[in-house]
Amino acid sequence: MGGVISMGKQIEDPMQILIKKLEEKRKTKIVMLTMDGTRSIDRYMVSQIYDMLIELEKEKEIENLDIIINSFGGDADAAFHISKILHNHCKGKLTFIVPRFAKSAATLMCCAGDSIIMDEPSELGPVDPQIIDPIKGERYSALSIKDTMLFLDKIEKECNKDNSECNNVIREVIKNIPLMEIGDNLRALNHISEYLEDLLKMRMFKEEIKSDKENAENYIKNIVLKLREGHYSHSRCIDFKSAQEMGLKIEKINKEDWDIIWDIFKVFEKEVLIK
Amino acid sequence: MKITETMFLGHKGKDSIKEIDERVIDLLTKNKKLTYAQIVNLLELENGDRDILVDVLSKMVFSGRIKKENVTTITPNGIGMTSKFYLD
Repeated sequence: MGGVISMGKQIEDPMQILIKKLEEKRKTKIVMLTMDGTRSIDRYMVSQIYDMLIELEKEKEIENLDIIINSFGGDADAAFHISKILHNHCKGKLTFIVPRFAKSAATLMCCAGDSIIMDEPSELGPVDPQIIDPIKGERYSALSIKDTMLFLDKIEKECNKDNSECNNVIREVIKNIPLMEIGDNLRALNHISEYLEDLLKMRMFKEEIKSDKENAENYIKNIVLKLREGHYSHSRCIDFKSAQEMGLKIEKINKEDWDIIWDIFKVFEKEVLIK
Repeated sequence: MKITETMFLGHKGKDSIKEIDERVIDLLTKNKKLTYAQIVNLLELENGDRDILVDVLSKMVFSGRIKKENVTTITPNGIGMTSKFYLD
């Protein structure tokens, strides 16, 4: 774990002016959770965000809270935990604002909001868990195991057309499949579904759950399935329209407010991403 | 990332992944610790190459050739996270 430093003057001024302006216009407290491509949501963030919220509450109770997020994802357990903490400390409306990226675990985090603000450049992403190969360091989707099983099933059906040589090959392949890993991957997929369902019920579809529990739960399950395995690639861009069509509560705000959000992102991009 | 790599390698006039790797080592030999943004700046990388750099750095850290230090900036306006890279 590296150092925690206070923000330097160079980034503080233009950013703070814009944030204050947006806070006044939207009557919210704005908190930025921004990371470049080299960092991801991790367990240390849980205590950092908790400490930050406690500090903010010393001044004033948090009514409406806007989270401006830029992240490529990270630890799903930490993302879930942070979302719950943000939910607990926000007495009014909790909104996630995505100027550019909220992929993977950051998409999961956004599902904790009453709504998500997006516009043309914004993108969410699929939430299929990524498993890291401890030897090669390469990532693969837990979903791949499902595809592999479908592939083997297809081959087995072909082999059953009386091809004993092919059956021997299949038996050899199956012998080398690590069964525990298959189980782990399938559990990881269910684990993510559980988190997504919990978060979507918490705020975004709270009223629907109250008025028609069964229908609302089915609606949520459908969103979870689309987010978890509705796409072929983990890097798939889920833009404003796709996110809306998926059933998530996506807000497109007035141009004036969006322009301020975009300016905030440009400052972040200039100072942090391409200094 | 594989898709980006393919696009990148097919891009004429750009550095190859191997060259970026070598330039990062050269840069870190001359400088003690550099953030991701500083490396982008000093290598004068263009858009596509910046994405490649994230992957190159990640692989260099995984293989133990360079070290990574997390840098987290906390203010009342939020949390900003980046990394510093250095040679052991």
